[in-house]
Amino acid sequence: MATREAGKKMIMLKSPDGMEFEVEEAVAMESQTIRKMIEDDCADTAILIPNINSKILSRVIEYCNKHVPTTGATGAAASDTVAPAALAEDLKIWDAEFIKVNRATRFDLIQAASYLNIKGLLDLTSQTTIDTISDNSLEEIRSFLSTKNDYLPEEEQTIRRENQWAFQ
Amino acid sequence: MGQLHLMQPERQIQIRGGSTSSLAIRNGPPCQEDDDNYHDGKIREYSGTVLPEDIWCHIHSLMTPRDAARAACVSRAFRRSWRCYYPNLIFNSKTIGLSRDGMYFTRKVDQVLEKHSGIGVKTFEIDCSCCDKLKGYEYLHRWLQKVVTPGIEKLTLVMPENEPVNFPCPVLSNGNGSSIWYLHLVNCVFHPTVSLGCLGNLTVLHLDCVRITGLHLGCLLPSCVVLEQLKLRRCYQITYLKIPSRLQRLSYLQVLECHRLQTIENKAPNINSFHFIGDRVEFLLGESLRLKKLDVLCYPFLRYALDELPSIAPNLETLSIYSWVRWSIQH
Repeated sequence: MATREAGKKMIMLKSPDGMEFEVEEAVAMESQTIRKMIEDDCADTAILIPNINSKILSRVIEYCNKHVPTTGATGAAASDTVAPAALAEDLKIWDAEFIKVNRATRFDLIQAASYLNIKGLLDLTSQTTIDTISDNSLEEIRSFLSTKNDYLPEEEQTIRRENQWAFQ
Repeated sequence: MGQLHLMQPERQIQIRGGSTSSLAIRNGPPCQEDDDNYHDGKIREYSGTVLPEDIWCHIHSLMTPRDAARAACVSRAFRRSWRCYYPNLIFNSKTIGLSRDGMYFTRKVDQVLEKHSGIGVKTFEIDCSCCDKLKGYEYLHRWLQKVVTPGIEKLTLVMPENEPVNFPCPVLSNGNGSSIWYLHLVNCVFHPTVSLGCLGNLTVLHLDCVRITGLHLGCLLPSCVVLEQLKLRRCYQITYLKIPSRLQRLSYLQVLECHRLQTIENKAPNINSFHFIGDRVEFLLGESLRLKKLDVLCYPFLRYALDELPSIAPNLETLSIYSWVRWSIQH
């Protein structure tokens, strides 16, 4: 249920495993999906976030909490007092620590970021995945993706020949 | 039913219900989870979670062309993604490999584009400045016809220095160029006419060593109503440069080494930065009231600066005039 605490509007997010997270509306609106629900007045009661378990949802909220533009008591943006470059550098370091998770958690975060439409989190998780696979062999990449080589031998030869330049 | 209140200095997250013991919620910097699957840059065996194809398409689209082409060899799904949707077709010495043989470059690009659907291309960049010659101009025409479709945002063509290539203007017509916001041509012959149509989203136009006349530029500029940056370098066929008043958003103008230029007539009202390197040129800057920064490497400009600028550019904050010895006036 949307409530007010300490003058800030709060939103309740509910995971399918029964956990409820009360977060500031501004934090929840880092998700464009939730923003739209709030703007369309669909958020009077708790918002159920399907397919995202409490463990992942809590990490997503943690990310949004860190990335929401902060405001001080006077309402002035924190960036008025902290240099934007320093703030960006701080966020970059925080992101690098945040994304040090195992593969399963990272994939869950990617799916959550995609569903909730949180561009920053989707970019972070996607780029980390790209960095992980970019220097590995095709077999290693297939293993990482849990995907099988579904090419016929002659098909694989053809596509390898077409893209030989990318292996040089 | 447990209840957990998590307090942070600025923000509050409250969690109710279920077991809270397994939740990894913290204050301050996030803790590092054991990355049990990644070690020394080598991937181990995995099982379990598989991402849906649409998410892999998204991740694939963020890869460099080289990584994306390699990934196309992983499975049919990636091949489909590479050929049908990959949006950033960037071909240069880094992505294709270094070779002075223009034919090698041409063949590789042609091979990729032959298989690509042309759908959803956002960026198309060909930089063959490393080649002696781009053999086969007809290839370029065909490539552009395929990728310049409504939706393309950035178009960059860098042609070999010794062989300027005629840019086929018709590829931009019929609304195909209407979504382009960035156009960068190097060593091209560019002769737009009024039939080119509207480049209504163009915000950056950068012409470098381009054979274009002031007349042809005059056919193009009036339709670029949201243009913000205009950069002209070594465009030797321009003698009279006229910036129309319709370019209300134009804020940056750069004119470098266009040695046959005789007059710059500006009517755009919101240019705040102008960078000029050149010879004797008549400046008709109009009422450049917003001009704040002016960099000039042109000796005869000194008289103009002293006589005219105080009245037509009262907001000028920085004027730098470069000569054999650099000096600067600040006010």
